[in-house]
Amino acid sequence: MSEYCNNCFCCGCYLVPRYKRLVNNVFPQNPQHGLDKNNLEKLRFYAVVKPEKLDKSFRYMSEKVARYLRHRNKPFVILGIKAMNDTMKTCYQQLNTFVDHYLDALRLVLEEKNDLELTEHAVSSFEAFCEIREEAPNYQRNYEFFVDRFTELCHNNSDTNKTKFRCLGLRGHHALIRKTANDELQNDVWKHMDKIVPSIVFNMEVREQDRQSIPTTPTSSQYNLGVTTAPDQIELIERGTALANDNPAILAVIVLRDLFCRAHLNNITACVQPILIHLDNHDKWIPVDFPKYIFSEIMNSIKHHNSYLIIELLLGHLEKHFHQQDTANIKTSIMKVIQDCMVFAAATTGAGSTMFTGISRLLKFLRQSFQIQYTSNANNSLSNNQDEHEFQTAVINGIGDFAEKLPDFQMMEIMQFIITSLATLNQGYEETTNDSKDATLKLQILLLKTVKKVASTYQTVHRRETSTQTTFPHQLFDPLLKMMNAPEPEVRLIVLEILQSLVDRRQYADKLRKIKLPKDISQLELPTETKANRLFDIAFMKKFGRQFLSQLYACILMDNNTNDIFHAIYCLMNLVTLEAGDKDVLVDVIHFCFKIQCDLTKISDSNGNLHQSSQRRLSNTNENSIHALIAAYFNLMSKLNGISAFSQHVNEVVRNRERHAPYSLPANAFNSNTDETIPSRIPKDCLFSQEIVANALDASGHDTSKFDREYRPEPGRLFFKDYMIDS
Amino acid sequence: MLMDDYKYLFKVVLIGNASVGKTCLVRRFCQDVFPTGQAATIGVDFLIKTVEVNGEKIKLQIWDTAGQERFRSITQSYYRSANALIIVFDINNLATFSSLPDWVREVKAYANNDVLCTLVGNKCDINQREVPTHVAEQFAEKNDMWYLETSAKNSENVGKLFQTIAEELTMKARESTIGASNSGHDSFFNGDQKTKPVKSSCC
Repeated sequence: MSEYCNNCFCCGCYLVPRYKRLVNNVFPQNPQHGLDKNNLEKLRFYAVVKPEKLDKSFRYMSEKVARYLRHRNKPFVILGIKAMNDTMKTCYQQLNTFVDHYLDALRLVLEEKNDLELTEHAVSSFEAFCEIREEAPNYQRNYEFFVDRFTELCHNNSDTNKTKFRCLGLRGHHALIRKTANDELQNDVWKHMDKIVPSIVFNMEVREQDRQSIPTTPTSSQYNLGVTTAPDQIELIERGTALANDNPAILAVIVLRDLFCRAHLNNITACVQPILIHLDNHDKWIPVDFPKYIFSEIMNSIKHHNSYLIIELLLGHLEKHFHQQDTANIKTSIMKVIQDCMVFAAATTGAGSTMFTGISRLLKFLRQSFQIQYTSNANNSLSNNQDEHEFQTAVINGIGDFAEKLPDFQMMEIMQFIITSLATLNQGYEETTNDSKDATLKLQILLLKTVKKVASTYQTVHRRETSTQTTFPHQLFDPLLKMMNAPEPEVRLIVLEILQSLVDRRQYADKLRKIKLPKDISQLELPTETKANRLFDIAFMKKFGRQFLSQLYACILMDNNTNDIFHAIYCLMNLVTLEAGDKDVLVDVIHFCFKIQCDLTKISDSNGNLHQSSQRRLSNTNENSIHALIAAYFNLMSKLNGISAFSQHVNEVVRNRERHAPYSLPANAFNSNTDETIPSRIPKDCLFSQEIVANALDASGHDTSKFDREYRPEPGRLFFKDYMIDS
Repeated sequence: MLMDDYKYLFKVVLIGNASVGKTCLVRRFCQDVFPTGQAATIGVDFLIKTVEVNGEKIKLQIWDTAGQERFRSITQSYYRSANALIIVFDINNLATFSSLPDWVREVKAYANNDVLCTLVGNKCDINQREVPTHVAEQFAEKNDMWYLETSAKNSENVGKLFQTIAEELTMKARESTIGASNSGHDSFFNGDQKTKPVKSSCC
């Protein structure tokens, strides 16, 4: 009964109200004995029976705590907190009647600085309080002091108890988040995020430093966002309370995850902005591991449909750094974080199409980066150049990795999106200097490489027939086909490779990569029966045949074609015929070859005649390459389709060439050592005869009526540049 | 009996460049010590001191912030609810004075409009003055502040600084409660003010 006297010494009757007596009796004479259990039970019972007295008894209790505190009677302060805690838990239904007294008392205890034990008890009690779900609204209640104080604790720097104090601060924040985050009846916690979030992130750093000092550093793959929750993380949550109490870094991660689990769409910005600012202020973007780690935790805990918002905020932040003209290093780091987040979002959330605005922003960054690179090129700052290059690679990888993880229909959308945005990207940039033209070209190639990356994964990952590969949408293929005759050979090559990936449904491309003249085609293991057995298939050639061939015509006769381009054309020609599995298509392509051969002879004829300058000029090497290409194509097709007369003719021509014009056979034509002195004309008997081939095709039941008309490429070919201006 | 016997509670926040002596000022005032070799504050520090104004107890909740740039965002979040701000600079270091306009801008951006702002030139015990008193006074006047030169080392003007702030804030609080008694300015009040004290009786 401590120092209090409940009854009068003279008469023995009670002088103190009952509630006070009960409260007084709870406190033992010797604080080491702990609270008097019996009397505590009495107090509880009294509170339940007479809830109207609860207010008074609680106020009295908190007054006692305050008085003990003033008298520095620490053991009794702790007992007082315990008693309050106990009563509160029993009478949680009347919480609103006494909560103010309780919080006031707690605040007083927390005002005691540098006392670990008191702070610990206060925080524990606060945690217990926060577990109580309230049904009545309380908008008046103000947790600001608690937030301030916990933030201060999180930044504690005392020599001896630093980690313990920091953990207490984190626990306090966590409790408050748990209590008020999703409770609309409460004074909401979100407006305090500018204090809470930096406190959490500040403590997360410690762990990162620890980690670096330990030799067995987990590889960066652990931060991989693709994994939803690594097993060790689950374990960590389970062991959480035990382990986290003495490691602020672990505790901080748990709190951060919990925070983002609870965050609603409209609170996320408030939570993420402080992180971004913190990373800026503390220069924590480099090395990228730490921000990656933070955002992987966020992406793993946030509600999936909200994850795109994180990416948007990061993009906004990247934009800010662009405006500040920061070094590319930081931008690259941010970009890498974005990349991870995008990959995560693509895989789990189906947020793919909401990300298209994000992609277009990324493409704009890419454009800006090129601009920066070329202005700095003028100033000869090489290091900057290197940084920008790294940034560009990061962007391209980001888009590529993101697209890889998308479901297939969205993959198609993203390819379309990139292709169409190629045109709009350059608007507003004057292309006066050679440098900036060069930059534009490089950008085009980079973007096409991105598309190629997407297309190739599309092929390998989605082997099943998918809507895209059977429908061949115009939005994607029209611009692609138009780019087939872009003046730059690099662009053409990539476009051809993209088309290969998209058209090749049965993985033939690898077998047809090189232009060869095999006598025995069985070693290629191409099936003889190539007819598509699915009715819903729309063959590529049915839809784009004319367009494709006329573009190919322009493409093959370009004077700056490389060997790679010829190989790619050969592969593509074979692919389209094989995929179509249609006699008409075969005839069309053969007809096309004859047109090319005819044009070639015309050109070489006119080479001697300088007046016909309007005719396109080709180098001898290129001409021979084309002849070789046609020979290889005819060889394969005639044998594959088993047209014996055709095949005999091919064999005959090849034999003639071996004798009179070996330079027009694949073995020599693509050998870089061929000398330039080779004759520009090929003997007549080394050319394929249209008549013989037409007859052979006729005999094997092909419709060769088209051979009578002269093949005409479609007029109005558009060059790539024209296309860009048009759209 | 009141739970806690103060009349008003005020929140005071100290800001200013790194190593101008904010922490020393606070420690001198609250604990009457001058810590030599004080390490840089991390984030924010917190101390409580009760002063007396006209016989009434006034509790000052003092938040001592880190001056380092990297903690700027967290310190800014403390301005919002402050009743008084103390901007500290080192009179022997011109650079700390030159960055005052930035601090004033920050205060305007983040703090309450009616916050009480005080300019303090610290370390006046050292005789290597780079900022003349009248320049600092001019600056303070222009920005509607009150200027004081202190020394945490020999405790010159430290008590006066906080005492004056407490007095000013009390006056302000009184005015606001008289002028607008029902507009909810009870953040100044100790919550228990309104409850009637219960007398304990004995024969």
